Amino acid sequence: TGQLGLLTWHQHYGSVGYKIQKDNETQFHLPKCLARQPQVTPEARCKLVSWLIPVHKYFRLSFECCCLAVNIMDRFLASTAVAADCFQLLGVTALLLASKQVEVFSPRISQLLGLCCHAFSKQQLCNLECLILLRLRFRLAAPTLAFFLEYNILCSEAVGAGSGSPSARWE
Amino acid sequence: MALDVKTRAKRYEKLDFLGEGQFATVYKARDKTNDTIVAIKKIKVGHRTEAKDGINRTALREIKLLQELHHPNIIGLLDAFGHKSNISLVFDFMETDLEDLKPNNLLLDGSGVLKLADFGLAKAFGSPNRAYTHQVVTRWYRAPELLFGAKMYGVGVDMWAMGCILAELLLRLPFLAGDSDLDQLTKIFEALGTPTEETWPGVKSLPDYVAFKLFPGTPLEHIFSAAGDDLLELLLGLFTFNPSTRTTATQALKMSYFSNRPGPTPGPQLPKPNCSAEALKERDNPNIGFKRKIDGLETSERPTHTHTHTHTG
Repeated sequence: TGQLGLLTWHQHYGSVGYKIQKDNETQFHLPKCLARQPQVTPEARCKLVSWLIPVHKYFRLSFECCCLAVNIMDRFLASTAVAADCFQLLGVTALLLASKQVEVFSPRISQLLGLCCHAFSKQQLCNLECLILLRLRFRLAAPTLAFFLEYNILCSEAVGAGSGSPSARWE
Repeated sequence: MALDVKTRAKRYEKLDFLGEGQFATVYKARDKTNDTIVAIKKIKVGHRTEAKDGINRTALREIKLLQELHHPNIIGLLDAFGHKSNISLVFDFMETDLEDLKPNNLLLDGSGVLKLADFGLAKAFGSPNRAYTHQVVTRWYRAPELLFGAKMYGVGVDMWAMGCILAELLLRLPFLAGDSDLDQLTKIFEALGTPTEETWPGVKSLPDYVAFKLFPGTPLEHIFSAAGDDLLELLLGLFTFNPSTRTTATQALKMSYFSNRPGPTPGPQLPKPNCSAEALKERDNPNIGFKRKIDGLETSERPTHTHTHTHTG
């Protein structure tokens, strides 16, 4: 019944949700987030994202949460120069912020610090958390890859279920 | 960063203490840059677990949602600033006291415009299939699927809450005031009848489902004896047990209750707190009609016995 409820939801509101998220996309996704970084390289970013993937799985966080964490990280990088030795702290702090938004439970700060081999203090993490929010001007509701993926899957399922595309149905 | 916080804090002059909730303290303040009155909600950090996990997640979600929502019926978030694990939110100031839909979170501004507030538990309208916590919504306004532990739920929970708020406006008392989750379900089933697999397919598969005595329920027209047929139709739709057939917001707005005469009182003519209906009548045009659909809402100076729409004055 869960999947059926989801399809019903999608038929009623899917296209409205899609439009909102699509409109938001340009504001939240920056093409050149590393342009002003003196130390953080594309390779370092790739390495950190590759590390965050198993980390979010370890905490049983959703794909949406992982996408959101990367978005928070990228937008912060576009606004603020980050030293190479603080880059990992940015990754886990972004993951914490993302989990607070979309998860029922968040990892503990002590757990996150443990994954960084205690290279950073709790105070550093809390300060960075606040700094990220200020630099992002508290704008947190980024549309994620997870959303668009799910939307497209639902569209194809709705077609498969013989109920037509949601927009055709709704208009 | 410290500088930024200082400048922001200086921007607002604290005027008065307005109230205190579980997660926040609210102050009335003046924005010195444009001389407007605002409400500042300072998220509490005194709580041990909150300080332990950095910035309060409830505050974060509220900011996130309010940043995206711009609607005349939703309270406006004007500014947000923070330092360390402290966060302060700046809102439009409301005449009435300050996720979830309950009468306490419905505010009226100076022009009588209704505003929704408190989005601490609100969820973005985007990914409906994620498992959510069912510990959302103040118990009295909680839909039966949440009380039975459903993790996959949708906008139907808000429509149930709307039904409860509407019922409370009619009764002027909380309609279903349970003192525990089980008591809440008992109150719901006593009033509306115990659902079965026929009326609510899948109910027995919900995580926290327990079998209840089969209450027959009371017809809504007996509970809301003064409500017209159009209003009863709306209530019936909102109090539908099966979440997938429960009336949606779009369907509700098309129902005759919202188009039948008389229309609602214009916002600016609504009585304000600490301002009696009588005083308002003297001050304004004596011909202003208050929408009176229910016996319970009649003002003392004009007792009427009709159950239909009546203009006073």
